[in-house]
Amino acid sequence: MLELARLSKAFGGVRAVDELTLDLPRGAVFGLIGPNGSGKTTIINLISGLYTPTSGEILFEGGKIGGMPSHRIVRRGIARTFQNMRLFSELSVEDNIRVFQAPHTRKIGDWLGTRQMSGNSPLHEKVEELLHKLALTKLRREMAGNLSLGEQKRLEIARALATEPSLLLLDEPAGGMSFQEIKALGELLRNLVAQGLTIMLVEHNMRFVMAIAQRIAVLNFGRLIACGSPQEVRSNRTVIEAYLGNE
Amino acid sequence: MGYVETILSVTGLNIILALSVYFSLTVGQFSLAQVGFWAIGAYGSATLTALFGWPLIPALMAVALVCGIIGVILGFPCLRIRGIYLALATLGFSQVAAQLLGNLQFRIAVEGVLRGPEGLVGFRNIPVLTSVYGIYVFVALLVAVLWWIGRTRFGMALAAVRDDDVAAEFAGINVVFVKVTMFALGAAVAGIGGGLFANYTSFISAQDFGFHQTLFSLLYVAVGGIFTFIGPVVGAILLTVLPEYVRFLGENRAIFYGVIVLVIMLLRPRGLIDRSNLSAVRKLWRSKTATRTGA
Repeated sequence: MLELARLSKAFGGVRAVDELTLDLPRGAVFGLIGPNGSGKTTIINLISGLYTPTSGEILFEGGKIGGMPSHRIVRRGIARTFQNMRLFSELSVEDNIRVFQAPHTRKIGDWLGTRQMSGNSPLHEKVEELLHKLALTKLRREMAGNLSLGEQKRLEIARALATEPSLLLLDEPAGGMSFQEIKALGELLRNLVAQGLTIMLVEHNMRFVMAIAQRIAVLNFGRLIACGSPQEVRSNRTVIEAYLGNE
Repeated sequence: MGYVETILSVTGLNIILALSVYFSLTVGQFSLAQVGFWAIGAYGSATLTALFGWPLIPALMAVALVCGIIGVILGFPCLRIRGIYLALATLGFSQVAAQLLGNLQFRIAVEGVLRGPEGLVGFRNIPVLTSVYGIYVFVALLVAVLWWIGRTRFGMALAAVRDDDVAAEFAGINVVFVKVTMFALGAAVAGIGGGLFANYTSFISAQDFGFHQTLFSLLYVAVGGIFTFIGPVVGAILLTVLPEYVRFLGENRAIFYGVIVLVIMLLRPRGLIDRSNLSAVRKLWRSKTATRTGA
């Protein structure tokens, strides 16, 4: 589904991602772990179009997407969330979700009509579904800036799902969430994968990643040091020395 | 033209100028280029109507198109800069446009009489083709369009771009397209405003498009508030009408003007109309409607 071929990103003299080659299988949770500064978020930024690769290729469904503008990548079916959340604080919860339906708002009438926001349109039904799925229905008219951290994280995921992606890039979605919220998030992600979604998960909560990911890649200084099932990664000596040994 | 009619007309024209600034503000860009587009619209419409005998509406459509195209050309490089740098670049455009047009000098024989812009002397004998009613028809049209946009998904996309353009890009919104579109629309509105101004006053000169006019366009929006289109409308009305009450101060009216702006900015730094008083009005409206319907 997604292929990174000898992908590199340099900032001045620092190589944040160095000759990385990865292949993401369809319909699975793919964990991306590593110490701070190992290049995890840079990879998400490269795949989502925020950064242009210095060298190498990013192939999605067989087509090159490296260096493509982000809005076109989203329209191809890749959505993302942010480690430092970027909610539209001056818009309500439901309007935050509606904005992310832009890839499916194709007709002029959908953009300039008010009817499309009422109760009988497919776009509106999708908003209702996401509000329900992410337990945000009661907060629908609340300004996004007034939500708790956990609620904001749920809204970020709801927004990303509103683009109806086939690949979802999650950058530390469990950060700041309570135990109950993490449990609910795990269930949600499993359901989404069961419905055919592919997820790339960057997360520091090892228990969460190990429980939910089918495959895990471990990075250190922008390089891939291991890739395999959670069991293989957990017992890998290099990974233990570079990362897990500190846990 | 009576005194009241003149004040009403000037207020209407200032509302158009303020709303033209608001168009690019909807996507978070503070443009000072509007007076430049206003000058292009004024000289363009004056030339088409006075020298070539065009009716007003086609002339206004033509200047709107020209200003819109210039807006697109100017809009792309302006996307790369923000804040004070964007303000300086757009101010530079206004000054260049006003100076070039203010020095324009050519004459064409119209029905045996030589007419045209005479450089610093200005452009005289522009046919009066609009009135206070014509100005307010356009104001009403603009307000209706902005009110409508605010209720649509496009309006929501604009709010998203203003709030966080990076996140808006990840929502699948073509931020460059949206920003350039709003910049060009603001330019077209300013062009039409300039055309109405020229065909209302019948005389224009470089002095009408100076730095002070750019400053006023900024103050209307800053004083009224940038959160909704109602802000620039209120700002333009207030800053046009209030100084008329202190005409007895003569030249010192400028001091009064400065004091008004200073007090408002100190008391309401986000402008007179912001989210808090707007939602208070909405709540009041809802409660009154509920009482009336017995709900």
